[in-house]
This record gives sequence, structure tokens and C-alpha cells, in this order.
Amino acid sequence: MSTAALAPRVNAGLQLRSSLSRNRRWALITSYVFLVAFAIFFLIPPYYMIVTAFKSDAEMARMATNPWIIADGITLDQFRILLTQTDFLTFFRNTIIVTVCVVTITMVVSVLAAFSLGRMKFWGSGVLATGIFLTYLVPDTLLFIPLFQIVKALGLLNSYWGMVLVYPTLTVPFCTWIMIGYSSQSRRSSMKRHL
Amino acid sequence: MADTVQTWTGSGLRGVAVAPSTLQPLRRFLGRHSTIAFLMCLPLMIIIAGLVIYPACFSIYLSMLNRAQTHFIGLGNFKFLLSRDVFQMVVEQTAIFALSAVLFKALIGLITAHLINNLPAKGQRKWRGMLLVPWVIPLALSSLGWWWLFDPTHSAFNYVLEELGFTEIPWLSQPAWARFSVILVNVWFGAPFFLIMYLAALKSVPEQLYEAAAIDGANAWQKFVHITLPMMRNIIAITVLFSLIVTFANFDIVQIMTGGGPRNTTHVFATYAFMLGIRSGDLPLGAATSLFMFPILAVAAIFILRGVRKRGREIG
Amino acid sequence: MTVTLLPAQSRKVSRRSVLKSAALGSAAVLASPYVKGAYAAGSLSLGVWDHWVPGANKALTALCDEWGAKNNCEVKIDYITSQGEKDKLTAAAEAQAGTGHDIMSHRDWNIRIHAEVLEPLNDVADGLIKQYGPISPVAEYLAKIKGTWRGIPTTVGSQVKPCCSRISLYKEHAGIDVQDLFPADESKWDKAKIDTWTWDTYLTSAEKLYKAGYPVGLPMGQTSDAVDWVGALFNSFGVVMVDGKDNIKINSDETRQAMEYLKKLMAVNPPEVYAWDDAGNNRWLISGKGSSIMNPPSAWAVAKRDNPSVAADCWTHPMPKGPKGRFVGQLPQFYGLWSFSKNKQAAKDLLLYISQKSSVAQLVEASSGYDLPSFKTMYDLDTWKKVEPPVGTVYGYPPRGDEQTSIAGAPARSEVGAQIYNQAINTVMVAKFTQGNEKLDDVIKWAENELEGTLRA
Repeated sequence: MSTAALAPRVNAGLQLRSSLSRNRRWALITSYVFLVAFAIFFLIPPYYMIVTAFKSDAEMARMATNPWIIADGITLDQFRILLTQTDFLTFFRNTIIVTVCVVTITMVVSVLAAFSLGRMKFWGSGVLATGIFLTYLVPDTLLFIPLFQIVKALGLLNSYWGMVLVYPTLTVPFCTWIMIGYSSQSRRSSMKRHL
Repeated sequence: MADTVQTWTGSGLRGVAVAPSTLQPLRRFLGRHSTIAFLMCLPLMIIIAGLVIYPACFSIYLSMLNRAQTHFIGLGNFKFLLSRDVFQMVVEQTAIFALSAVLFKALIGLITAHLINNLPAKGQRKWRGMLLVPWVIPLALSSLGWWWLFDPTHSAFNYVLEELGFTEIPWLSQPAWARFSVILVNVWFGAPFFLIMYLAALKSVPEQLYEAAAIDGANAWQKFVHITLPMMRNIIAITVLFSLIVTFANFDIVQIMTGGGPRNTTHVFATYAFMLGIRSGDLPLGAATSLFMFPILAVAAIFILRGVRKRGREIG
Repeated sequence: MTVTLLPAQSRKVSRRSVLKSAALGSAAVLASPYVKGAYAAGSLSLGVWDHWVPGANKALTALCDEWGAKNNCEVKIDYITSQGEKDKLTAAAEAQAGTGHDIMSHRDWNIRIHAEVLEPLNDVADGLIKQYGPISPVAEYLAKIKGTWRGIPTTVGSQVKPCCSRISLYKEHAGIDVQDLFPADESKWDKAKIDTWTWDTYLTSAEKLYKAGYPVGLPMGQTSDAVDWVGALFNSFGVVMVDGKDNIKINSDETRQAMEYLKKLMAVNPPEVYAWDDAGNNRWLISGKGSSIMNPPSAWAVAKRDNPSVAADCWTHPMPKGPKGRFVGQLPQFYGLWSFSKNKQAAKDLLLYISQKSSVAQLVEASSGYDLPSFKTMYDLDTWKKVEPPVGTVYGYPPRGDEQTSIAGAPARSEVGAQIYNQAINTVMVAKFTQGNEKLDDVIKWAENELEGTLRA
């Protein structure tokens, strides 16, 4: 179906406008009703986690009050303990460092690969594209043993770099796959423009 | 994003173009093109070879050893597993878990994507952001949040039910409810992924198609069946396949919510493999468990992906 | 067992805790004079179970530093949590890779699992036995493999799971004064009185407490708290699942008797016990809804912080007695020395040092009596007498009187026992019968089939 073929019909469509807009109003209202319902479903656990974070240990331990609200008074104790008595800040810093590195590596590797797989053809590129997807078939429950050996062989145990090396295993294939989609899509649209 | 990709490769191509070469122009062009493409894929291939293929082969090898890992027993572990009652139940439960969770994830994703797509453009961001929340919380943490909600002794849901005059629901202590609960959490976590993928796909369906259909008197359902679905076939196939694979391998939800109980009824491959491999110390048997679905999923994946590629060529 | 609820992200071996404790370790080293000497490599690294009691790790660190200073050896300790079995994952990875710490602590069956890559420690173990007398039979069963000790029982984290009961509730609703029955001084224990504390008495009191609205809370999931108490009950009824010669003995009158008893007992437990993990019973007691659990004094210790009136009403005391005796579930931990360690002599010296009674006393004190050494001669330490409130509340925690320790899965070969225990075959059996209402014969047949699976070479 091409855009040109549609043009003469657009005028006829104008007559339907008013009934369309009435339908649209109803569609919009139904949409909002359902969206609110879904939003409640999606937001219950985070809401509950936030409320719980401000409860005292004693309130949690007694299990006697309404769990949905903070009944015994708001407390920042949990945050104080987290920041002063645990090594959370160290963990947090570790997380940031590792995340930044992993995201960078993932982006570079997958953008490169996706571009080449989405737009260029070379021997085995089709197989490779499928192969990337298949990597998710390898269950990671027990993947840690061989990975531990590799990390050890590279002398990266007990360092950030060990993690930076391992995480892309889980992120790169998926990222590449998503990007192949975009990459070939943009090829199509740019081709259409040229036509 | 496409723009950045283009500029980047633009300079890359120029860089290579100045390299001296004695080949024929055409052959040179082709050769260069595929060499560049190959080089661009190289980091990916190294990652896959080193960190996926080697570990995968190692796992397969491991799954063929005896418990003490002293000698090779071929498919002995797999044969043994198939003969166990508990394992048969785990296979059944994993299939129920993965198939129903993916079905509902896809449905909810599709519905919410449509709902959001119907909204005026400026309201969409807000709703999209709200519905994406489950996806940005680490699964281990949100599973714990759900666990608190289902908490056997002081469940927040049961509190509401009781206030409303209903009886309590044994969320995690009765097998049927426990199975329901772990699936629910999986749907909750996975649906936003479908939502975002479908929403992107919906946006790429040309508006003219719908207008034309409206003029032909098509109702919403007909538009959905005859325009939306065919246009989204590939993205649906890929997301469902991806989600199926990931859900079959899910670990965190079941491990945190039920630990496989009550009476082993909520175990999935990953948690059962963990119990056999790590807790009971039979690594080869654990490896065999976690690899059990590999052949079935691999065949399914290859067929689905072939279909996707074929359709991709037709559209392109 | 523990009550913290951290996410169990167990897919990967996270090295984060390792990183941070490595930093702590080096800070500690700076505090002591650093002179390389005596031992070849001059350093030792330990991977030890991360204690849930705040401050308990410090006691071990202090002991190791003390030893390190005396022996010119740098000791680094990484505390590794057992949440999500992270300690077991680390041990599995180190065993496979043949590298890592010198000494690792192993919970329950893990010595057996890694026996082939663990250094024999007969010299250390025999020395300690000579010094302190007989060692716990459970520890021996788990760590002495084919006549060779592959691990040394730790103090840190080793535990038993006796009754922890609410004094006032038992007095008021069941007419039993647990303080009078088990006073905080063994010399005052009256054998005739204690003999009345049987599983039958336990059941009748549990029924009364259930009617009063304060049920006992006995977990029936698939984690260690459940497996341990059911294992103890099975033993006191004389149930044998698999004997030492690979004979499956589950189809017996003893099994039927124990199962019928459990049917009655589970009926007066809250229905959610089938979903409890190791924290479930703790939370049940701490909330004040429950009258009794079977657990180390961790529930009491947390109650002391979060619900003090409940803590002041808790009394830890021996298990009820069955037809075949009085048994309590014991879950020791062990230090294992990897055979790939480069500094074995230093490691053995350190193990000997932290197993001395003077060291044990410090560890027991730091954990408020939670940590339990494997030598009966050490049960006279002061901590258990004076911890409060109420004074003497954990006196009955170490097995005293006629209470024997046991572990579910024994007396089968320990390879087989490990499978029985970790697959929770005993509690699944009970749950099938009591919750799933399956026929007893079917349940026993199911168990026979599962046990046969554990015998596979």
C-alpha cells in the first residue's frame, strides 16, 4: 500500500471526523481507567518498599499494625544504619564504577556489531546474528564456575575488572540484538527516502 | 541514534579508504566492506567466544561427569534426572511457569502499549515512566519487596483481605497459590519490557494505514488484527522468544519468594539446579539440570529467528 | 537461622564483600607491627562466614591479629555472607579453580563436598581432642572422612537448635514452668522432672497454646531450620532414612509412628509454617504471636533489640524426649585448609590458636552465646550463665543433661547424607503427609524412591 493511493480518500474521511472524535473521547476515558489499574499493579511493590524503609525495627518486628502505612512514626534509622554501620557507601561506589564501565563497553561493542550486522553482509553474518541470540540459552546458574576460572586465569580475581569483564556477557548480546533491529530499520527508512 | 552510527562509520570508512591496496576496484570494495564489518563484530565475537561459548562447552562437559568429577558418564546424569519424580515435576512446573508468565507479560505489554499509544502525546511520557518502574528495580530487590507483601505471617495483601471481610490467602504456603504468586511476580517484572518494545513498534506503524482502514469502515479490532499485528509480527516474535528463554532460566524470583517450596512444587530448572549443584554439592547433576532445556529452546529459537529474518527481508 | 533479609543475588559470585573486607583487613594489619619472618609466605588469607551478630566478626579479627602479631604473619580475613549461599558459591568456585583463600569456613556438609581438595588436619584435630576431650559426634560425622579430618569445627557460627519458649505463655496456658524444669544451673536439674519433658508433653502443651491463640511455630519448609528439628524428632523416634551401608530403612513402624505424631503436631501450628524460610520462626517468636520455636538464640537476641518484652520472656532449653532418646539438631561449621594453600603450617598453627578455650571464650562472648564450640568441656563458659534478660536465658542452649546432638541424613554415608539433608527429603515427606494429605504409604514410597536417588554413585 502506498501513500499516493490514499490521497483521494482523505476527503471522504472528513465526514467521519465527528463520530471519530466522540469515539476517541470514550477510548481515552477507558484508556485512563485501565492505565490507572495497571499503574497500581506496577507500583504496589515499590510503594511498599518505600514505606517499609521508613519504619522502625520494632514496628516491623511486632507485625501488629497496618502494613500499608507507617504506624509507629517515621524514622530515618534504617538509612542512618545503612550509611554509618555498613559498608553500603563502598558497595555503592563499586556499583557506580562497575556500571559505568560495563555500560561503556556494552555500548561500544554492541553499536559496532549491530551496525555491521544490520547493514553489511559478510560471510557468516547471518549465523552470527542468530548466534548472539542463542547465547541467552546458556543458563547462567552455573556459568559462574567457568567464568571464575577465566577471571582467575586473567589474574583479575578480587578486582573491579573481573566484574567489568563478566557483566558484558549478560548485557552485550541483548543490546546488540535490539540495535540490529534499529539499525536495519533506519536503513529501510533511509532507503525509502531515497526512492 | 541512527545518526551517530552513521557519522561514526563515515569516518571509519574514510580512514580505511586511504589504505593502499592493489586489488581490483570492485573486489577491493567488497573485500573492504566485509573486512570492516567483520572487524566491527570482532569485539562481540571475542566476548561471545570467551565468555559464553567456552563456559557453555565447559557446562556441557561438566554435565557429563560423575558427581566426584572423576570420570565421564555421557548422558548418565540426564537419564538419571528423567527417572526422578521430583525432576519430572520440575520440568512440568518450569513449563507452566515460563509459558503462562510469558503469555501474560505479552498480553499486558500489548494492552498497556495500546493504552499509552492512545493518549495525547504529552501525557504519554508520564505514564510510560510509571509503568516502567518494575523494570528498573533490581529483580532481587523487588522479589524481596513482593515477598514482604506475601509474607506468610503478616501479609500486606491478607491484611487488606481481612479488613474487607475475606479469608486470608495462603500465598506462599499452598502449592497452587505459591505457583500463582511466583508467576505473578514474573509477569509484574517482565511486562514493562514488552510494553516498551511494543510501544516503539506501534510508533513505527504508519498512521496512514489506520486512516485508510478507518475509511474502509474497519473497527478497532479489525485494525488491530489486520494492521497492527502483521506490522508487529517480528517484534512480537523476538520479544516472546527472548522472554521465553530468560523466563525458562529465571532464578531470583523463585529462590527468594519460595526457595522452591512448598514440597518442591515451585522449583524451576535454575533453582533446582542450584539446589543439586551448589547446596547438595553435585555440580555435574546441577549442570545437567540447567542444560536440560537447551536443545528444545535452541530448535525453537532457530526456527523463530529464521522466520523473523525472512520477513525482515521481505519488508526491507 | 539468621534474621537479616538481604537479597539473595546468587547468580554470580559477588566480590564486593570481599573487596571491602580486604580493605578492613589491611587496616588491621597496619595497626600491628608488620615484620615478615617465620613463615615462608608470611601471609594467610581466610574466607569466613559473615556473622549476623553485629560486632561478632571483630572478635575473630582480633584473635587472628593477635596471633599474626606473635608469629610475624599477616592475616587477612574476608567475611562472606551465607545469604543466597554466597559462601558456598565462593567455596565451589575456589575448589574448581584451585585458587583463593588459604582457609575457608564451610557450613554443614561442605567439608564432605570438597573433601578431595582439602588438606588432612588430623594433627590439629587429634591435638584438640587430646586437650579438650570428646568432640561432637556430628562434627566428627561431617568432617572426618574415611578416617581423615578434613576440617576443624569452628566456634563461629556453629549451632544447635533447641527449644526457645515463652516463659509466661507456657506457665499460663500449658501449666509448665520451663525455668523450673531447666534452671540455669545443671546441678539443679531434676532427672525425674526432666523425663516428663517428652514429645507427648510437647504436643499436649502445643494444643493448649494453639487454643489460647499462641501456637508454637515449627517451620516445615525446605531450609535448615525445618530439616534440623524434623531430623531431631525422627532420631528421637528411632527413624532411620538410610543406614551406613546404603540400606533404605524409611519404610518402618518408627517412621509411621513419627509421621502420625507429626500429623497431630502440625495441626496446631500456624498454616504458614510450610512457607517459612529460616527467618520465619524467628519473626514468629519476636512478633509475640508465637509461644515456642526451635532455634539458636538469634531470635531472642533480635527480640532484645526490637521487642524487649518478648526477649525478657524467652527461655532456651533442651528438646523434648522421644521413645529413643532426647535429640537436638546440630549444625556445625568447619575451617577447611585448601590443599592448594601455600602456607599450610601457618594455617594449622592459626587454627590451633583460635580453637583454644581462651579464644573460644572470646568468640562465645562476642556472639552472646550463639556460637557453640564442638567440645562439651567448653560448655561451662561464663557467657551462657550470665547472658540476660532474663539471666540464664541461654544456659540451656548448649546440649546438657541427656540431650544428644544429631543431624538429619546421618547415619548414611556422608555423601548420601548431604543429599538427604540438602534436598530436605524429611520435611517434604512430612509436608506431603500433613499438608498435602497424601496417603502415608504413598509418601513413604515417594521417600524410598528419592532416597534411592541419593545413593547413585
